[in-house]
Amino acid sequence: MLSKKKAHEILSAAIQYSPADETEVILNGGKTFSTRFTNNYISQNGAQKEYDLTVRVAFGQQVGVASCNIFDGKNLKKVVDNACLAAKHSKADKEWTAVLDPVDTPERPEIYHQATIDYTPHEKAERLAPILKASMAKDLTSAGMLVNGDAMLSTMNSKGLFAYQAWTQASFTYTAMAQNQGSAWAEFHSHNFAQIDVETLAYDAMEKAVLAQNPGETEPGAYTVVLAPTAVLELIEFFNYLGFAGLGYEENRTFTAGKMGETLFDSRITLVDNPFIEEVVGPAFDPEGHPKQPLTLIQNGRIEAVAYDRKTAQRAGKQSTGHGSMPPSSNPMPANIVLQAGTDTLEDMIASTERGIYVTRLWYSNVVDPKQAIITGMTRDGTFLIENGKLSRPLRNMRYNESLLKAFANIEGVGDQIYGFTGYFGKLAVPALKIRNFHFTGVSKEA
Amino acid sequence: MNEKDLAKLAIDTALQMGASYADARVIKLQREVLDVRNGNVNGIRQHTEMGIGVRVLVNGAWGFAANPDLKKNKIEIAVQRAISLARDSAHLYHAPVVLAKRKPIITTWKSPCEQDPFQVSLEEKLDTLFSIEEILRNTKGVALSDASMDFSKEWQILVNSEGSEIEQEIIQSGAGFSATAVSETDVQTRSFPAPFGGQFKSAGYELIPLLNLKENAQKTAEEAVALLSAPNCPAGDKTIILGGSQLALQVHESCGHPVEFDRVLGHEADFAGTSFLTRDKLNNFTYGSEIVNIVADATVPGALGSFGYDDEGTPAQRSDIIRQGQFVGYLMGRETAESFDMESNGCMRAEGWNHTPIVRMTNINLLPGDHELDEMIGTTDDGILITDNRSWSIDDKRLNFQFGAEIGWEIKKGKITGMVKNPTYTGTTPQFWRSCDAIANEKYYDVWGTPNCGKGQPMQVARVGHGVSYARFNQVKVGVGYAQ
Repeated sequence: MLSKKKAHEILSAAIQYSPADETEVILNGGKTFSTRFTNNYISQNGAQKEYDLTVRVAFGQQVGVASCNIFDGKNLKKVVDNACLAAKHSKADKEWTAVLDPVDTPERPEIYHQATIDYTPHEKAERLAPILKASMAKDLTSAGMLVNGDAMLSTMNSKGLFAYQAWTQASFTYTAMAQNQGSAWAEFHSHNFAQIDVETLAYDAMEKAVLAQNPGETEPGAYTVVLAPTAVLELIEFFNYLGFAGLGYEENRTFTAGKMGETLFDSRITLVDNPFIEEVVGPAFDPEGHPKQPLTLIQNGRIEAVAYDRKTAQRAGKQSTGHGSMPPSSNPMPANIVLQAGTDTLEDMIASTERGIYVTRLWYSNVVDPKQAIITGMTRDGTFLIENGKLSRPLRNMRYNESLLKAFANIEGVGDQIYGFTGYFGKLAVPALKIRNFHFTGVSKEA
Repeated sequence: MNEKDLAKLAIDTALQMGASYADARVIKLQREVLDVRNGNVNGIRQHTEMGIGVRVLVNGAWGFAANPDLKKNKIEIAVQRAISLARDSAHLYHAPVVLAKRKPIITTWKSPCEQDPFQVSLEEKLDTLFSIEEILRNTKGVALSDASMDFSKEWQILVNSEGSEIEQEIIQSGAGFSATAVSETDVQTRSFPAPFGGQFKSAGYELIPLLNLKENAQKTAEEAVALLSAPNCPAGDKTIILGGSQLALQVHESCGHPVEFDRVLGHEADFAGTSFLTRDKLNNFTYGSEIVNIVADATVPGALGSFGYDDEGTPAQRSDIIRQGQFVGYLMGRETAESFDMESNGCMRAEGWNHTPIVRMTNINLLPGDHELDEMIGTTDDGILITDNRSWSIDDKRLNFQFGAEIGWEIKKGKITGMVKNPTYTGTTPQFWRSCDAIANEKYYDVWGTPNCGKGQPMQVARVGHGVSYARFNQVKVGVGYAQ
């Protein structure tokens, strides 16, 4: 890992090179070791290392950004020169906010687990061997990926601000495939490799894949659904994207626009952004160096806040919430999201459902209508009909079209435990959910 | 040592350490992205990067390591790591990887480029963008105006242990704009020439004036505003005519991905998914109607998915995928082709130096037919004309899809009767393509760049192309996204 001392050296040197009125330099990157397996063998085994240096300079309101992945010696000066050149040939950014005054952002060494990064590819292969052998013995096909790595973010500016954070990350994704279209899925992400119970996740999925064989059909329509956390994940990603980005809010493009303080959702829905929560840990500052604090987005169904960076906040007359993006982008978005747990067990939610559909996973979702928060997507890797409180039979994958405004108002149950994942926009932790009147509009089948 | 010598050093080191095969790619990338928004410079970013990716076969299993540092000792470390990873992989393989045969090639190749975009001043680029954005911004009712350009130059040397040494330089350019109108209950965006950054080609700055951006700004902005008060797309079974980026994405999602042979073999089962086009269907499956002909063609000059050689050194080529409606070909690399006793058709591509090559689309093109667009509209009784994509979703076997678009034009009794907003349609891939009864002629044909195709673990983004004109499909379920 690029150490705090080394990061400070590189960033200081870059600041020294800059003749600009203001300079901000950001280092981010890390190492990733990914062991990928398909058809019960390791098909891809990779080691990647990359760090990027991003320089943003301002001459008055003329701003330029340059970045590179080689920043030793003359390359460091060159990237600063490139940023300056871009700024000098640019036009004024009338919304430029001066770089941030120094602020104290304590480093949190506890989110870097040395054992996580030290776990070797050989150890991973040894760990996977009995699982893949068991998969073959059960006449199943396994595919997945076991990953460990680390990451860092460090920022410095010409006013003297400096912040640094390193953290580790690990994940296991697993697909078990049985004969006759049976498949099941397991997924777990953590900053601590030791928290991933690879064996339990894999063997549970193998059992479910067998149960999912020979799927049948049920008519599309409105159903009560019980969504496993791996399915809720996808809904919350889009909920966040469509509702809580400050730029979209100020431009009246989000479903939350004009609804601040209104209760739109079931009282059991509380959504927070908090990089200090174990399942979604991350740096407690953004690339601008602005500190992050826990931010309550929805409290008991009531819209409470959206995320801002400094530029968007200035435009709105608000304060940044520490959700800046990598320059030159300015699209503040919560990135350490937690949907708070409720009191229901997954088993109880199924047992209390007379007729409904259990969904393991949602897949390839996308936006149909941003203001109505309608999204569509497919179920995947284990969809079951629930009858009389039990999973009665497996179903073919189904297409859903649903407004998240309605879905989170139609809550019937919230799981009592959250699980951590990594999504497109950051980290998320979610429980299982039971939702009534959830709309399926099609079935996946060849003829 | 120059880059070629460094790549050769990696190969020699790998062979000395026990690899039966090795390839190394040294890449230098330069990129520039400019964006203006609401009368302001929203961002100018210039990015440079370089690095080496080393792929080795040891005991029949793969290892891959990448490092941005091109010092000799760092390359040796990367090779050692790749070798070690391959040995770990070999622990658990079922059969050794075998690569389809390929003669060594020593050559250089450059994409066509008349004007290097990195030699054009930022002032000129910004002036062009602001001249477009100003028209959008000054159109009454437009709330958000955005115009952007995106340029890249990637130089690569590929060396492998079979004696190939292939140097390539590919310059790509893209540009486009969008106007957004907003009300209390609605957001409507119109883009030109395509959504999500515009049109992209393997070309230099000469592409920009050819896109006619400024000429189309006013009309596009007015359409965004008009959409707010347009009726919603009706629901029901209708005829649809697809064109532009919407038909390109339809080809991408429902043909390009399911013919990736690595998906068929299960290599993507944990992420991107598998495919309904299983091996038994090759040369034995009616994918579409007789007028549907689709090729994979990496040789189209100037198309985004074109190159001289893929990232295994296989020459760019054109191969049939769907011929007269019949499924006849996959996209393959050397490993996947060998497993089916075939030859690679040059579809192994990696994102940059930091990823291992995987099977990828090149330009997946729906060949033009012989119809005029007016005639296709004139012979449609009840339909919707849909051109610019807004949303896409398809299942993990690439059967059930749903698309949304920025705008639709309702057709009644052979005439366009008005604009509709929020058009959506859904279907099942083979039934949909079998319902295709007309394809427009070459006059309407263009290759649309798709710069954001995600696949693989870790995720890689590829730039691919899709040649399309217009195509008509019958009995398609439309308006389904709002049917709750």
